[in-house]
Amino acid sequence: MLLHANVTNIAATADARAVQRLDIATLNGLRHQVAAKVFVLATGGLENPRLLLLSNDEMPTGLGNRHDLVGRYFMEHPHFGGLGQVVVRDIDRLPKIFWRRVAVDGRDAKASFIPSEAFLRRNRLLNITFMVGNPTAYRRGAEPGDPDIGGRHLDMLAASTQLTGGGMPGNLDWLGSGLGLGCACEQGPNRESRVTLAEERDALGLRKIRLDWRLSETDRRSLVRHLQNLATEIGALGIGRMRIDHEDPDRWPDFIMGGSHHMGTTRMHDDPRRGVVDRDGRVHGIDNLYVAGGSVFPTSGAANPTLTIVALTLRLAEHLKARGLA
Amino acid sequence: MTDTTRRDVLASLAVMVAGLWLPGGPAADLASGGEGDGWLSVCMPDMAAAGRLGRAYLAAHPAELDPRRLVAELRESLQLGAGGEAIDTDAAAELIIRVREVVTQDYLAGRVVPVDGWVLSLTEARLYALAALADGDLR
Repeated sequence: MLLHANVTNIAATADARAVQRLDIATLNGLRHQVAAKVFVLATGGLENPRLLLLSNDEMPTGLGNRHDLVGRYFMEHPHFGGLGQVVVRDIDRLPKIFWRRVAVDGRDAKASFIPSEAFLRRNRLLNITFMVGNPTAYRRGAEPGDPDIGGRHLDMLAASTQLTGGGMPGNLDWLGSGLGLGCACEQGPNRESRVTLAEERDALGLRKIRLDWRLSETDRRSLVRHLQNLATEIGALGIGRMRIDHEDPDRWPDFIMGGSHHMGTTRMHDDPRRGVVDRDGRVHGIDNLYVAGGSVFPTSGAANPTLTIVALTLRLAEHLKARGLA
Repeated sequence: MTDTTRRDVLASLAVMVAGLWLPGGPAADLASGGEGDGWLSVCMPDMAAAGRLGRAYLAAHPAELDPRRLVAELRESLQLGAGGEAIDTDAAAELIIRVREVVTQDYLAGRVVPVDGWVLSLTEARLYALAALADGDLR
């Protein structure tokens, strides 16, 4: 293992059908080359396409970029906090694992609300995960900590006590609990959402990344529909009431945060015109160059990508072993 | 709200209650003073909180500022008076069960409205609106 060694170029053969070596450099000026039978690019959804684009000695548009796909279809998981709030009369109607970390097999776990696959298919929606935060308890006559949010929670709980039922036997002052709501959304593949090379250069003289992350109307409509659906489900189940704090459903919220889940920029597809790597993770047209990581995801789902990345990496390892390359 | 309008609301409520509990059932007991404040307070013990939500609903749906129309809509959604069935057990509990069922059906059928950000059953929102009208202060 070489630490502090930065790959600056993936050097291909003249016909660009194989990789010969990696050119590497350190910040203190050392230069080296590394040769191998097989190369696996595993530097994440931003750096994977960057390295391929930078490696343009034999292919002017970058290695594996014959069909202008490297860096395209960049996907993230848009995260939102404060888009909604839930009040529940009886917090025990929600299993504790939804609102507090619970030990499961020796590990902390917390559950999310997710739509069923049937619902997603029926309504042609992208996926999403909703999470609630720690509950704030409300009692009749108590001053809310936050007069705006707390006051609204108090009113909703006090108005609906008979309509939702529950409560705390023996404690007539008990009104219920309020919980903040957050979500992480699936982003659909979008060709115009992409990583390219900027003119600015880094300490090694390499062009930096320019990211043009683009969300679509499909992504937005899906989020809005899911918010509405969750609110309706919570009401229908009699658990409580949900408010949506996104005033204009025709616009994105002002603040959108990613989850550091960078995906899609070397997407997988059997057809070289539709994907950078094949089903084994091998770059189309290059016999000994593979890509591992979230960049090979053709779609993003809504769950954290790590477990899928690990699964695909193990699969790739088996493939390399079967080819006698590992 | 003027005294006349308030009387309209309460009179409408009395009619509504009478439609559910015929004849001479526990409606009179629930509608303390014979006018319906008691009926509403069975569903919404905190009329002030309900009224604040109701005012938000009415601000977005000014056509429902008409208490007779509001009551008529509620009679329909709650199916009040259709069979004129007598309820010989705890009338308040029966009423609450009926309202909860209708509210649940609203949610399941997508009959929901935004009220100050809350996603509420249409029936529930109208009950809050009625509370606002009965309260008389529509500011």
